[in-house]
Amino acid sequence: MASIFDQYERAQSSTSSVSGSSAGFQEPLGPGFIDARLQDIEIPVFQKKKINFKPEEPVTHLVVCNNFLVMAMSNGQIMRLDLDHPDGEDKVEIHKSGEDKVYKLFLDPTGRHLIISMESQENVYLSRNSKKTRSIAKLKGHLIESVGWNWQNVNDNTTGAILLGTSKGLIFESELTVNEDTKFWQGSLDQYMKQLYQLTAPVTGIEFDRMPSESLTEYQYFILATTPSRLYQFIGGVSKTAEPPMFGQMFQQNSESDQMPFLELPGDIGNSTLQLYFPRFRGPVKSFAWMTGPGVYYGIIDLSGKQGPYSVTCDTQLMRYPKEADQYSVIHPRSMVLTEFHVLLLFYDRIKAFCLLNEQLIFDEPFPERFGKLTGICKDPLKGNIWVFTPQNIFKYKVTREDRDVWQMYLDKQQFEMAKEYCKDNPVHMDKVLTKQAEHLLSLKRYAESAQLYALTQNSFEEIALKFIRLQEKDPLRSFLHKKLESLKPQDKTKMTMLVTWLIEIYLNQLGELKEQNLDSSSRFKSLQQEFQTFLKQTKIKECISHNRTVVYDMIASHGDVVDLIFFAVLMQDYEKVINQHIQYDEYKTALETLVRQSDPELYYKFTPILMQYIPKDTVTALIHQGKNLDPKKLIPALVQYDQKKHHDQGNEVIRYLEFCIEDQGNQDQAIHNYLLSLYAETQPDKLMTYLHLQGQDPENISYDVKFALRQCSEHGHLKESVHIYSLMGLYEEAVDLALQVDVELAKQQADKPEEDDVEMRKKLWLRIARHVVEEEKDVKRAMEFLHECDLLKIEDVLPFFPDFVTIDHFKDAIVTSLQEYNQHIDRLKEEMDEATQSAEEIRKEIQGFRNKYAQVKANDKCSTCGFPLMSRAFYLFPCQHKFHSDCLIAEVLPNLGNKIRTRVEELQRKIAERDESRAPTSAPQSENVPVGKSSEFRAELDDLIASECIYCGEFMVKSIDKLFFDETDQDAAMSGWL
Amino acid sequence: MAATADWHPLGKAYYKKSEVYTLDWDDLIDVSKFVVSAAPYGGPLALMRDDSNNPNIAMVVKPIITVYTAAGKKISQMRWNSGKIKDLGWSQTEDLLFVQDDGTILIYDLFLSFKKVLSMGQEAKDVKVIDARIFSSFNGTGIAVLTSSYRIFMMNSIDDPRVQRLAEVPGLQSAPTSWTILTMDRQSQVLVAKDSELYLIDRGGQYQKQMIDISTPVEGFIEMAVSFNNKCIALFTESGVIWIGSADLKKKYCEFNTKCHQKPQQLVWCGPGAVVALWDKQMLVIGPDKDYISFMNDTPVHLVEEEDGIRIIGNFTHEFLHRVQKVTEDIFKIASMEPGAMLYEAFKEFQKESQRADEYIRSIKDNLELAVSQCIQAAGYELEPSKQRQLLRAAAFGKSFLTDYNPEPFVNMCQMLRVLNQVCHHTIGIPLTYSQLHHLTMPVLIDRLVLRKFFYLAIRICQYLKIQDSEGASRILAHWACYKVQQKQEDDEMIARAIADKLGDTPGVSYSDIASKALECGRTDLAIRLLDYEPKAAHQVPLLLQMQKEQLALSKAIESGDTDLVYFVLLRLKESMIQGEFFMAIRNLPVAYYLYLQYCRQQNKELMEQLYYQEDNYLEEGNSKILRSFTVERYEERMTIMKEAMDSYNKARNEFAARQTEEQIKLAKYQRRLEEELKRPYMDLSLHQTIYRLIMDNNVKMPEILRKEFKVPDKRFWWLKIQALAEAGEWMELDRFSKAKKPPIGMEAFVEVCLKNGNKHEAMKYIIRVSPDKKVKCLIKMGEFKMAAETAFENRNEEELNSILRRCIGTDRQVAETINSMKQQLSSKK
Repeated sequence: MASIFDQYERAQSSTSSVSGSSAGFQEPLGPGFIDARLQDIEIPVFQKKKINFKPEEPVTHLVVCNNFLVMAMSNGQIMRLDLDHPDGEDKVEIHKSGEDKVYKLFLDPTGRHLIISMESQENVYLSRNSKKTRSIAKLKGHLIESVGWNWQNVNDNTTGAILLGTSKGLIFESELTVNEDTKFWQGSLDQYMKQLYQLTAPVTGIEFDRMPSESLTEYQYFILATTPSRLYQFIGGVSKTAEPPMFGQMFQQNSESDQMPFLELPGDIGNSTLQLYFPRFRGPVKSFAWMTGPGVYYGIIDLSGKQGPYSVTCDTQLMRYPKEADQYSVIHPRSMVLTEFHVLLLFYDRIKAFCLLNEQLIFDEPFPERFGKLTGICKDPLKGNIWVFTPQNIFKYKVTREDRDVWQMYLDKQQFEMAKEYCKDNPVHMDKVLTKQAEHLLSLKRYAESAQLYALTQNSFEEIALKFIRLQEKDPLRSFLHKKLESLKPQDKTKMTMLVTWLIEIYLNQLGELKEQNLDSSSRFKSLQQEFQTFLKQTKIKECISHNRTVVYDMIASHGDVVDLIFFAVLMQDYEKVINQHIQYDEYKTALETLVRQSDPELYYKFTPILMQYIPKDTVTALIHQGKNLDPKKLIPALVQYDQKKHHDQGNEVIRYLEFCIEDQGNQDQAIHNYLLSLYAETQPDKLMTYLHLQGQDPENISYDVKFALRQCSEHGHLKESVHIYSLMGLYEEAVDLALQVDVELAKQQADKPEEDDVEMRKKLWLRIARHVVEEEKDVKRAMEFLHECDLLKIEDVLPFFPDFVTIDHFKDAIVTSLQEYNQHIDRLKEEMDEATQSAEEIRKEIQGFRNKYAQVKANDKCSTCGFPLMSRAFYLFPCQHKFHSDCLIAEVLPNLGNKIRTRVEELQRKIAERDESRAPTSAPQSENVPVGKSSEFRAELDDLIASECIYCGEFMVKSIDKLFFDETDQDAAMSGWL
Repeated sequence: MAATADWHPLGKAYYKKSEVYTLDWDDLIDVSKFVVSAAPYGGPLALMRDDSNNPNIAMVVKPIITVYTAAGKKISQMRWNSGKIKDLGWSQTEDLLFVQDDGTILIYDLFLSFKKVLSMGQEAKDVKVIDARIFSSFNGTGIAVLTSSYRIFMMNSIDDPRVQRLAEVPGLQSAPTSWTILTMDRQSQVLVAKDSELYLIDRGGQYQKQMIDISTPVEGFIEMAVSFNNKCIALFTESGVIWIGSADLKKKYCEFNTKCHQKPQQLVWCGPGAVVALWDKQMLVIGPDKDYISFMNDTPVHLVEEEDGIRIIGNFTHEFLHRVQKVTEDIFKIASMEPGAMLYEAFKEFQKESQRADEYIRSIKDNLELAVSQCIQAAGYELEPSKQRQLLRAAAFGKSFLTDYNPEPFVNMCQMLRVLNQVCHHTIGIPLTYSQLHHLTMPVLIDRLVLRKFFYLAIRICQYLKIQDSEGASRILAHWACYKVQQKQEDDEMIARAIADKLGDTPGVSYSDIASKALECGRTDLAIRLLDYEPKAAHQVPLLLQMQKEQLALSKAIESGDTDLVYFVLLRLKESMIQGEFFMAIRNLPVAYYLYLQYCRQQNKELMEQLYYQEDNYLEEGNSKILRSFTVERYEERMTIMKEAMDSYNKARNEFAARQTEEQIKLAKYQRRLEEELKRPYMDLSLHQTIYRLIMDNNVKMPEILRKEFKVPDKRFWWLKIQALAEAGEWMELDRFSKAKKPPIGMEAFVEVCLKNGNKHEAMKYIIRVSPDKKVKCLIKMGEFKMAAETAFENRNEEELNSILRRCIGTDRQVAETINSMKQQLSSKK
C-alpha cells in the first residue's frame, strides 16, 4: 500500500463521491434472485493513482500516447518516459531554445512524433527514437494551436498527412518524415507546409479521419475544426492514389461557397478543445465532444453520410456547465476529456465527470492544493488511461467498466434493446429489463409478446398467471403457459405435468365452448383442434402424460369428445381402448383396422375370438399378414371354437391360417401341427400326404407328434401315410411290412431308406421283400430279375427262401457268376499276401545286414553336448555320428521321459551301479561271464529306454522346435533379475 | 491335400497368405486411420494416428505415437509435440526416424526415448519439406526429402549426416507425381517422375531423362516401387497400368493393366517375383508375366515389404504373404514324384501303420539323401510348427535309412527353427522367416533381442547355439549392465549387487565402462560400487576422480601400486585442494607423500625445501641448499645459501657437515680474494687444487697460509708440492726441496712423480736414496729388469726373483737365463 498519507488522501477524496448507486440496504434483486456475491465493494469507474515521479523542474505540458509520456519542463527541456519500460526516461534539450518556453506539445497517437511549438513562434519536431530536436522551418512565425494526427497512419517514421491549426486561424497540411538511416548523419526534416484554409479565429481543435466510401478510386475524409466559438465540418473525397499533400482539393471545392456551415455557440472561455472517441484504435470514430463557452457540445459522429454532405454529427446536444452552489457564476473548466460514456472536466482544483447519457455528475474529486493547481488533463487514445498533471505531480486515472450503470439509464428512457445490450451478462438487471418491457407491452395490450417476455423472467409464476387469467381471452395465458412449458427442464416432471394438464384443460374448454356455439365445423374449431393435437403430439408432452394417462382420459372423457379421446388413445398407443370402443359400437371392421394398425400380439389374442365369429375371412387375412409376430399357439383357443356344422368356411379359414403358419412361418409348434393334421385327417385327407411330405424325412425337425399322427392315420385308415410315418420313425420293418400290403414298389423305396452303412438292415429289408416276392409270387424269373436290380442280395441269400427245388436251370449262371467273382477275390487276396511276404523278407534281411555296420570314433572326438573328449567315460554312439557320454545322454534325455520311465531308468541305474560295485573290488581278471545275464539285460533295458534314438536327430529335437526357451511360469522369475 | 488348400497360383509360382498373429493391441485401432510404418525383418510397428484426411478436427492436436511389436504388444507410447511429421520410418538399427516438415530428423529408439536430432540443412528448413522417403542405402539407413521448392536433399546414412542436394529437375513447376530412391552399387539415386517423363537424378548434379518402352500412352507415373534387392522396379501410371521392369529401366518384364485409375495406397514388391498393389481393402498381387491374384481383406491393411514376402498388418490379424518355395512345392504339390514328396508320403504311411511306407522308401532308395535334404529345407520354409515337425519327422525317418549321412543340416535346421519359433512367439513378436534370418544373420538377431531388452532370452539363445562367450553372453551382459545402470527407480545397492552377481567375473566385460555409463546418467555412488568390482585399477581411478572421490581414488591408486596413477591422483588433488590440507592429506600416506617429493625434486626445488623445512628434515634441506648453491653464479648469493645450509646442518646437529660447510665458505673467501689480486680463476676448486695451482704459479706464501688454515696434513702437502713442482718442470726446486727436510712420504714418491712426467735420469738420482726393500719395485717400474735382478739377488729373496721372472717372459731371453741361474745358486745353497 502507498503511504498513510495517500490513504488519508484517498479516504478524504472518496468520501465525497456522490454515490449514484445505492449504498446501504438495497432491496432484493428482483424476484427469484438471491444475493450471493461475496465481495461487495466495487471499484469505482475512475480510480486515481498517483505516479511516483518527482520532476526536478515544474512540468508545464504533458502528453501521453500509447504509454509514451512526454513532459515539457519549465526550463524548456523535454523529458520522455516509456511507461512500458519505465526505468529509462531521457531528457531532450530543445536546441538553442535559450529561454523561450514551450507553448504546446503535440504527440501523435502512436507516440512516435512529437511536435513542440515554442512561444517564439518556433516549432520543433522530435521523433521517438532520436535525441535531437529539429525545428520545422516552414512553420517559423506560427503558433500551432492544434494538430490533427492521421489516425490511419501505420508506418512508424512518417506522420502521414497531418493537419496543423495555428493561432491565426490558418490550417496547414504537412507530413513530417524522419528518414534517418545509419545513425550518424541526419537528413533534413523534409516537410511540406500547404496552407489549406484561413479561419477568422485561432483554430483550437482540428481532427480528421477517413469515412467509409463505396467508390473504389477515392477515400472520403471528414475534417472537424473548432475555433473558440465555432465548429467547422469539412467533408471531401481524396483520390486513393494521391500522395500527400492530399487535402488540398478538399478545400478548393468548398472554399468558393464562402460561408461554410458552421455552428456557433456564443461566449468564448478562451480554451475550447475538440475530442473524438475511438472505440478501437484505427477503427471508425464513434462520438465527439467540444468544450465551448456555455458547455460541452457532444454528439455521435455518423460516418454513413446520412447527415448530408456538410456534417457528420448527429443527435448532438449541449450540456451546460452545472451552476455552482450560489446558482449564478459558472466556473469554466480548463480542459476536458471524452470517454465512451462520460466527459471529464478539469477545473483548477477538482475534476468532475459527467455521464453523457443523462448529463448528471458522477463524481467530483477535489485535489488538495498541496499538489499544486491542476494544469492539464489528457487521455491516452490507445490505452485509454487518463493523465492529470500539476506542475509537481502526475496522476493517472484508470477507467474500469464505465458502462456498468448504462443499462439503468436506457431502461429509464424505455430503450429496452439498448438496456439489454448493456446488461446482457448480468441476469439480475436483465430480469429487471425484461419485466419492465413485459409490463410495458402488457399495458399496450400486446399480450402475446408480453407473455413471451414474462415467460423469460424470473418473477413468480402465480402472479403472472393471475394477470393473464384476469384477461378476457385465453390465448395469452395459453401462450404464456406454452412458453413456461418450453423453458422447463425435462426432469422436473411435476411442473410439466401440471402445466400440461392445465393446458389440456384450457384447450378442452375452448373446444367445448366452440362446440357449444356449434361452430364445431368452423375453421377456428379445426385449427384449434389441430393445434391441440399437435400440442399433444409433442414428444415432451407425450411422455409426460404417458405416465398418468388416466388423468387425461378422465379429463377428455369428462369433456366427452370421443374424437379426441380416440386420437389421444391412438397417440398413447392405447389401442385396446380404441378397439373396445369400436367393438362396443359393433364396428368390427374398423376395430379390425385399428387392430391391424398396431402390432401388439396380446390384443390379437384378446380380440380374435370375437372377430373370428363375425368376420372370419378378414380376421384370418389380418392374422396372416401379421405373420411372424403372432404366436399361433395362443391363437388356438381362438381358432377352435366352432363346431363345423354351422359354418365350416371358418374351418377352412382356420386351415388356411394354420397352413400359412406352417408354410410361410415355418412354425414348429406341435399343437399347431397336430391340430392341422387332425383337421386334414378329418376334412381334407388328400392334403395329408402333401403335408407329410412337406414335413420332410427326419424325425427331429418334423413338428407333429408322430404317434398322434400315426393314430390319426391308422384310425381314419390312411395306409400310405402311416407307411410314411413308420419309415419316418425309423421302424423300417413295419414300414416294409405295411408297404408290402399296399404295393411292392413302395416297399422297395422303404427298403433303401436306411442309409448306406448299416448294410445289414438293408439286407434284412430286401430279404424280407425278396421273401415276400419269392413266397407270394412263386415264380423264379421275377425273383431273378428282382435279384439283379438290387445289388445287396446275392443268390445265396435268397436261395433258402426257395422251396426245395431240384432243377438248377434258373440258377446256374447266377451261381456261376457269384462263384467266379469269389475266385477273383481269392486270387487278389493271394497276390496281396505275396507282396506283403517278400517285403517282410527284404526288411528282415536289412535288419540282419544292419548288424555289421560300423562307426568310427576318433580319439579326440568330443561329446556332442559337453564338448569334453569322448573317450574319458562310458559313451553312446548313434548311427548318425552323434556321440554322447552316457551320463550326458541320460541327463539330456531324463527330463523328457514320462515319470514311469524316469523312475524305471533311475532304478535301473541303481541296480547297475550296485552290481558294478559288487563286482568292482574283485578286479578285472575274474572272467567276464559270471552272472552276465542280469546286469546285461539291465543294461540292455537301459539302452532301450535311453538310447533308442539320438536326441539331436530324433523325435526329441523335432518336438523341441516350438518349445520356448523359457516358459511363462519362470518368465517373471527370469525376467526379474534382468530388467 | 489340406496343405495346398491355401496356395494361390500366380503363373508358375504359388503364393501363400498365412496368419502370423492375431494382433492384441487393445482398443479398436483402425489401420486406415493411422500412419503405420513397420521395420523390415519382423521389426516393430510405429503407429501415428493421422487425421489429415478428416478435416473436421483442428490441425493442432498432437498425434500420439505408439510403438508395438509385430505381435501388437505395446512397447512404448508418446505424444508427439514438436513440429509436423512428414514421414516416419525405421532405420536398420531399429531406431524410429521422424522427418519433420522443416527438415529436422528426430531419431528415437525403440522405447521412444529421444536419441539425437539431424537436420536436412537450412534450405529444407526455409522452404519446408513436402515429402520424405526413408531408404536403406549400402551403409545404413538414408533419408531423402523433397522440399516445396521441388529440390531433393539426400542423406546417405543417418550415421554420418552429410546432406547433399541432388540435381535439379528442369522445369519442375509442381510437385513431382512420384519419386523413389534406387541404390545401385554403393551409391543411391533418385528416380523422379514428372507426369510422363522419368528423370534419374543423383548427387553429382546431373540428371538424365529415362525412356522406358511402354506400349500404352502414359500421362503420369503416380507411384513407383523398388524391389527389396534393388534389382527391379514397378511403375504405376495414371491409367492404371503397372510397368514392371529392371531397376535400371532397360528391361521390361510386363505391363499389367489394373483398370483402376486412382493411386494405390501402397505399391510394394513381394519378394523379387511379384508386385502387390493395395487399394483400401483389395490387394492385387501381380506376377512378372501378367497374371495376378486379388485378395480381399476384411479390414484396411498396411503392407510391409520383407525380403521374401510382405507382411500384411490389419486391424486384428497380422498375416504374411510369401511365395511358396520350390522345395515346398515339390513336396506338397499333388502327385509330385519328387523324392521329398515320396519320403513325406512314406512317413505318412508309416504313421498310419500301413506297410506301403516300405514301398515308397524303396522307390526313392537311391536318392534318399536328396529327399531328406528337401524335407529339411521345406521345414525351414514352413511357417507353422506342426508342419515343420511333420517335415522334420519325415526327414528323421528318411535319415535313419541312410548310413553315414551327415546330420549337421538337420540339427542345424532344428536349432534355427527353434530360435525362429521363439522369436516369432507373440510374447517376443519378431516374425522372421528362415530366409530372412539367413539374410539377417544370427548376431544381428541377437543384437535386436538385446535392443528389445530380452537379455535373458538372448543369452539362452547364445548358450543354446553354443556361440562362444566373447561375442555372445558377455557382450549381452555388458549391454544389460549398461541398461540396468540407466534404470532410475532402483536403489544402487541392488543394482550393483544384481550386476555383480550376474556378471560375476566373466572375462571380456569391464566394469569401468559400465561405471562410466552410470556416471553419464549421474549415479555416482552406483558407479563407485561398480568400480569396486573392477579389477584393473587403471580404469578405476580416472572414473573415481571425475566423481570427485579423491581420497578413494588415491587409496585405490596406492594399493594398485601403479605410481603414475598415484601421480595422476596427486596432481589432480593438488590443484583441486588448497595447499595446506593437501599436505595434510598426503602426509599420512607415505607412498603418496614420498612420490610427491620425487615430483617436487624434479619440478621445483624450493617447494621441496620448505617441504623439508616444515618436516624439519634439516639434513635434506641442507643438502638441497648446497646443491642449489652450485647453480647460482653470483658469489655473495652463493655465500648466503651456504650459510643457510650451514645453520640448517647445525639444526640437524650434524656438526661434521656444518664444519665442512664453513670451511668451504672460508675457502671460497680466500679464492675470491686470490681471484681479485692475481686475476686468475680460483673459484670452485677444491682445497688441493687451489694449493696445487698456487704452487704452480710459484706463490710460496699463500700455500703456507692455506696449509696452516685448513690443517693440511704434511704428507699430503708434500705430495702436492712435489706433484706441482714436477708438473711445472722445476727440477732444481724439487731437488732442493727433497734435501731440505726428511720427507714424510719416502723417496719412492719422488721417483714416481719423475716417472709420471717422463724423465728417467732425474729419477735415477733419487733411486739411490730409496730404501733397499722398495728399490726392486722401483727398478721394475722403471723397466730396468737386470738391475732389479741383481738387487734382488743381493738381498737374497726368491719371491722378487719370481715376480721379475714372471714379468720379463716374452721380452728378452738372456735376462731370464741369468735369473734362472741365480735361482739355482740360491736354491743350491739352501
